[in-house]
Amino acid sequence: MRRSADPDIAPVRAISGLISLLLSLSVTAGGLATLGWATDGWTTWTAESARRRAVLDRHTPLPDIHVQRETGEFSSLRDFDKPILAVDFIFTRCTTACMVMGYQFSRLQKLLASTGHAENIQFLSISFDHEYDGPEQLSAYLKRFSSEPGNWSALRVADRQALDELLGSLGVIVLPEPELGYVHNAAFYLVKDHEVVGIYDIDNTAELAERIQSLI
Amino acid sequence: MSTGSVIALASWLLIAVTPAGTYLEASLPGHVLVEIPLLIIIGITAGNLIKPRLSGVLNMISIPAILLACFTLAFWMIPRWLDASLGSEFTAYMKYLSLPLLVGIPLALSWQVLHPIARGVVKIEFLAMLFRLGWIYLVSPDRLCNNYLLGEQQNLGYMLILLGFAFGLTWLVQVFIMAPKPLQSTG
Repeated sequence: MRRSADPDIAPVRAISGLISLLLSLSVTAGGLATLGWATDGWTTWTAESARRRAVLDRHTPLPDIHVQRETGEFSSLRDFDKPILAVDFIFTRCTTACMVMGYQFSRLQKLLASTGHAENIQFLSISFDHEYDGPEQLSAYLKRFSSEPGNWSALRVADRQALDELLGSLGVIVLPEPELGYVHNAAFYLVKDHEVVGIYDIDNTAELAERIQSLI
Repeated sequence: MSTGSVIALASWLLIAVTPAGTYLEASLPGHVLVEIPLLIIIGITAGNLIKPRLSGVLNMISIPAILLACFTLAFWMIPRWLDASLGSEFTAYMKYLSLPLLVGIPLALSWQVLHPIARGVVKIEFLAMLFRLGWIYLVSPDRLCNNYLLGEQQNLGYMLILLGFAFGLTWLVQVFIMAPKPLQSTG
């Protein structure tokens, strides 16, 4: 395996060294280009950020599905016709992320009411715990955050297929978990004219509030 | 066909075609610390088989080959693509094929003829990768993969760091305790 020191093959070694160098450079260029492509220009490292980007790039519409409100009455998701919808996905038995989201929604609701924008925005908390969450659980969920009635509704999707369609189109992934019930990629979705226009981290309501104000 | 190649081919089919792959992928440590290394080892076995036929060009391709292996492995270390390989059949097969073909085979072809300095760089970089990845998985408060739970992610973090210590110690022993071998050593 060792290289010979024979001077006769020195030119051969020089050429092979050159080829090796050129190949190395091409592999490096190709490798960097591939990794750059794979991360959308070094920005998107996780599936979560890729998913958000994809949902926004597709101009994903909110599907027109039947939902049941916490009051028990049935309607369509499209019936909520305020210009801006702020949507999150929850399950009422949740003790972690959904509590944060509920708290953030109630803060946002008060903030927007105080600036006179309550008329322009509708908050929707949609449960993915299709079997457990009924109108009773949903209205208890809203009461927990002492939400003002009127522009915050909690919804359940009665039809399993419609629920899957909704979760799928927005890239919401829900995993059952023995202790917590479910684990899900929690986020806030901003919908304008039935189209998703923004997805925000649940701990970043400042950015969300700013965006809402600018959309209104 | 040698026994080694039969076992390699059988394990590849087992991972890529049967539910065994899905079983390994059900947990994050199973995915990263069992399935991916297995796919690479399968490639190494194949690489060792074809190595004698390529002996003339091994020196020339050793560095490009190890670079190819590093870039390909780096690709599958991106959480987004690890996740994607669970959601899309196409991406899954890209993984099943690229790890043996673009990591295992190049590794087998290049490692023994690689210049000792380059080999040292790769080893150090590998060690650093274990600690870096382990640390990220351990401290990240967010789930990096949507398909796995946070607890699993932290378990993987611990395991990667333990592995890093194990490799580091092994090499320390080699460097400081075992007698240095003459140049034709194959570390």
